[in-house]
Amino acid sequence: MKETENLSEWIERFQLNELDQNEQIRFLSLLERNPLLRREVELDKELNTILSDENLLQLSEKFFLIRDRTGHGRNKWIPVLIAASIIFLLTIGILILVTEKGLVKKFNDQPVAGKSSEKNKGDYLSANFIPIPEFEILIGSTTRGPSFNLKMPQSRTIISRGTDLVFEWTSAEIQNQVKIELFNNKGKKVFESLPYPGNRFTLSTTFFNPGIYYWKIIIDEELISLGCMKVL
Amino acid sequence: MTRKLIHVVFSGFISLSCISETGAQTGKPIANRQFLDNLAYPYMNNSFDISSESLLVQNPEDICLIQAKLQKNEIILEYVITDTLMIIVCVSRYGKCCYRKQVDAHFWKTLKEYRKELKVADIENLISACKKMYNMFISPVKNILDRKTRLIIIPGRDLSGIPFESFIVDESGQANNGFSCQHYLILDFEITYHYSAKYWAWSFSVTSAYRTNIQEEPELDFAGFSPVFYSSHKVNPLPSSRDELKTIVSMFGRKGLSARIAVGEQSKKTLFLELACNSRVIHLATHNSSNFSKGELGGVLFWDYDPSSRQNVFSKGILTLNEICNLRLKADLVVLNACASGFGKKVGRSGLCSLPLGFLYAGAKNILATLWNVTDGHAGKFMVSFYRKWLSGKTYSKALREAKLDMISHRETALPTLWAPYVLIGQ
Repeated sequence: MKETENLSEWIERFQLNELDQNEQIRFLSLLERNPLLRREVELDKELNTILSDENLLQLSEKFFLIRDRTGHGRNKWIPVLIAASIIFLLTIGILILVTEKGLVKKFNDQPVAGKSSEKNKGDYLSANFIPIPEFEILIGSTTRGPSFNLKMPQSRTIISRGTDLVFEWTSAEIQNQVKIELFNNKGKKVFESLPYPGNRFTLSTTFFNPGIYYWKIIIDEELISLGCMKVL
Repeated sequence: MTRKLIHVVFSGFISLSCISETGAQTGKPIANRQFLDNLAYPYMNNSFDISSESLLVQNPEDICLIQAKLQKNEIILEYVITDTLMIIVCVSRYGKCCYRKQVDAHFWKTLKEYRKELKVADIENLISACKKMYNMFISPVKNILDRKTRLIIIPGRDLSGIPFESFIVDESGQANNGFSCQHYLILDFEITYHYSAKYWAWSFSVTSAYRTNIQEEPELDFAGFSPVFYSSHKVNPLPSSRDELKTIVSMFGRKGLSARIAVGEQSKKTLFLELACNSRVIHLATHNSSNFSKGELGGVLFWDYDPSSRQNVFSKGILTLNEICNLRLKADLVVLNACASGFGKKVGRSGLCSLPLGFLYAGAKNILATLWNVTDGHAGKFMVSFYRKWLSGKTYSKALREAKLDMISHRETALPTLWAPYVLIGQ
């Protein structure tokens, strides 16, 4: 065990031929039994050979000399760069804060002017409330066909986001299967129910963004009723 | 995709848009046995399922008679469609030709999608669907429509319910700038429909299906019926139909024409049966209870409609197809301003069993009907617009076209779902 602990010292002394006779006998017998030790000794020998090569050492010194001149590999600029970045970010932050305050005031005075994030948000929301003329004209109209009476909701409904929209209807055709489709104000379908044989349907508005939505009641692939809801 | 335009060449035939030399010289339409030999019979030998009314199987003499009734600016386009083949038969005064195309599953799917998008007002996909329809049904024969201004469409069983007016000319580079900016087929043509070209030509020479001695002029110029309805009828009230009739009757009055309307509780079936047979224009602004997709014939509703007897063929207050066929009408125009009044039940090879067909059989010359659900308010306004134009001296087809163009010119009403359901069937 002790031999193992001093193994690196033994290897070094063995390489330098400094072991006494007893130690040498014991080390050689150990070397004979242990292949890992043999490998270790070989590696140590190779390393010593390289370190003793003067040409290689000179080359190495030259390399480090050049690296020092060009500044590569040095970390001395890193703290400076970090400091500069912090100062830059702080400056940008202060500028945004100042600009923001100015534009908010301006926005209050002149609702149309300015390009703040508040305004963009406002634009975005108001864009969701632009009606579709082609649908508006159909809202609440009665067809001269199937006797379908929509009791709920009203043809124009305003509800808060998260509130359930309840559809309730009566139809003379008991076997009619009603399908409900919902469109946003770009005309994109955002919801479609399966054909539904009942006379009541509840639609959750939890995941709807504020804006205008148009619902269609469809029976046998024909539009029976069209209405509008504003989600606030 | 192979598209093959087959011109059946006969003596002097150049193309349908040009008068053939022989035709121009004699001033008579031309017919040739080759037309049938080349086209109809090969398909018939392969058990080609075709209506006996189709132009493909008519005798040359009958085709001659049909051509004789056509004006220079008119052309008949008959569509014969089977599961695997579509044939467009084009007959003009001085020529005829056929176009054929293989039909596959994609064809039927496109057609089905278009119908749906039109009826449910699918504003996102409708424009492209209308363009596809143009490419499928008009584009193959567009070269022969050059000098024509009036199309007489014989849609056959499978294209019934398709308003050709809504097809959009697919011009490259044309942007989808909304419905009012599209180049609809109605911009270029007056379009009318009929169930059969043979019957269309025949209707010019007879007064009614019974060919009785109904020669005297009708006493009334206009008879209008609008039950309006209350909620007790278990159907939706139609308040706009009352205004519609009152406006129209005042327009007739201003022209010095005799008109009578029955509104609300006056609008009973018995009164209709009494007045209809002696009126030039019959106008019904009411509900249509027909649900042909479910095999129910139904009919148009009057004030004395009793919902409890609905399934009965002889229901009280319902004018059924049976009863219509037994009328002897002198009417030049019957307006069925109700939902899907022009739609029918597919019957065998010959096409449709529908209310307009019943009125035609009863002797009416023209039927203005709807292909799907129409809304009470817009239906009323549209008809007022139509009558205003007609009473100013225009033909039915021209008045109908202009009423539609008025709607197209306004963005709010430019959606084909609103104006395209109205079709003129007849002469």
